[in-house]
Amino acid sequence: MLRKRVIGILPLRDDVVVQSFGFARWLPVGAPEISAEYLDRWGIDEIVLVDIGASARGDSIDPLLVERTARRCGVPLAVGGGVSSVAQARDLLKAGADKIVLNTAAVENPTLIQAIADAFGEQCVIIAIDTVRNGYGRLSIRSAKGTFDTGPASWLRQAQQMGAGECLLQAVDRDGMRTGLDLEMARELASFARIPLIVASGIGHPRHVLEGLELDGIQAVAVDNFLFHTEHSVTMLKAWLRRSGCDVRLDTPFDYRQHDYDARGRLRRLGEEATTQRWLERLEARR
Amino acid sequence: MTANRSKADVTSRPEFFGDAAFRRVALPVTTFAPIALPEREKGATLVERAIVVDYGLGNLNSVVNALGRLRVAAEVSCDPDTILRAEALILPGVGAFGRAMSNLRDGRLEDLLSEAVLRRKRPTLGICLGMQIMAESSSELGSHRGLGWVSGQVSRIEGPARLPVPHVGWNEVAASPQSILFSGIPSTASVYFDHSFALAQCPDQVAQCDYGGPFVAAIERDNLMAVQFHPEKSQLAGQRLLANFLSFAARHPVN
Repeated sequence: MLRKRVIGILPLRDDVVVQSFGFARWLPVGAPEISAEYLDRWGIDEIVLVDIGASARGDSIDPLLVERTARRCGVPLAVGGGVSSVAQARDLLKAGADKIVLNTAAVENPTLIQAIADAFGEQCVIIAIDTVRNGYGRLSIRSAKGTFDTGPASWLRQAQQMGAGECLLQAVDRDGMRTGLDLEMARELASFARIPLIVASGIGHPRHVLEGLELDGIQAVAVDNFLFHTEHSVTMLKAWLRRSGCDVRLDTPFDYRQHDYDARGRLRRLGEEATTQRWLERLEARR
Repeated sequence: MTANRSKADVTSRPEFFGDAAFRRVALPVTTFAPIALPEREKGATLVERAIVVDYGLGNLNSVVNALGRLRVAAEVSCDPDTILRAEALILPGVGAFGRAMSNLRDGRLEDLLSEAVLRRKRPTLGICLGMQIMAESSSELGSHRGLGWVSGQVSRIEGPARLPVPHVGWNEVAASPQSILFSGIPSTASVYFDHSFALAQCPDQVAQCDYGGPFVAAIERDNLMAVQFHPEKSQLAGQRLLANFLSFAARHPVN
């Protein structure tokens, strides 16, 4: 059975991984190589590394940075950020990336999707669609060059036709808000998508991830802020999901299957007696 | 008195070791490890150098990094002498079948590889497109002839109407118990797939996967092995599979 995926997003600004709020405010997290290594060790299914300042700078993500990050990454690495040509894509794939994420440049020139898919295969191309809801609730596409009147549905149809392999859906309004995914948008796009869909933006509790994965046409949920600043965040999230009946992959040597979670989806601290009891049990077992 | 203790004598200070509170907080690490690398002490050694064939396509760096994690030197090459004398050959591949075959022909690698793999029996592992080109033919973007090392045709993954293609993500593989590649990998482990075309059947199949219908996940025949998924991107299960291949190559040296 193809399992649903939990993907980690590492947004980069000035070569530093950041926490993102509404695509407008950022807090530093740390070096991308180290973040990627942690996510990998804790059992993430895939990593997306995006240089979110690249398009505005007129630049693209640095292949040397990708090379350093890929060296420590035992899971597929998708990279993006200002990629606007086949040559740039080739450099990034040679540096160690497995997939290319396209956004701004593809909105300006959709044939770029086809060019990269022809050169490296459609399974190498992820189209990232950032959406914004206006006052009337209508969705529009947003890229580094501005907001466009097109809705995500028609853009996704076009991108599919051009040869995109997967689609990463982000919601600017929900980014960093921790109020849950935009499930209505996800359902609407999943109803006609022919390529795998990844939903992102808004995770604040493990049940938000569950809600996304339970939708029929969604193959993966991508998480960024929620995974930062917590030891073993990925493993705990996946253990929580498995307990709730969601069949995600969890084969790290350590797991949190025996632990309890509180209402906020956080690990419940064991009392002192319970901790000491467990410690003594394991000491006995090893003897 | 702090004046009497030397600054270098850190370990004698109670806040670092021996403090009861510190001992209580440190939980012991569990030793449960479902997938372990083959133990070197028991005689399982890996080859020291593997040759990754460069034919213009493929995620070469990913494979090199994965081999580096196993402490195996990886050399990317399309040089005839290097390939013919390789202790272990890896044939990666990401992209289109037709382009792969035309690259092999243009680089005169087709005959070289057939000589190295079929006649000189170098241990070989094909990955993803590298496995597909070993088949007889493919229907990807036109009809193309493959290397023909194994029988079978590569065709597009088709399933019920709304099945998303490409097949991307972690999926389980049903492997035969005699498989060398899958030894030590539990049946519940998943590996990473990312492809739109697949080899439907092959007599040398040792593992099968299901997406829109069963297809070949891995093949093994003497010195020739290949997998449809990406072991270099499959964390522990993939690392174990690569280690199994490399220890097989070490156990079957060819001159």
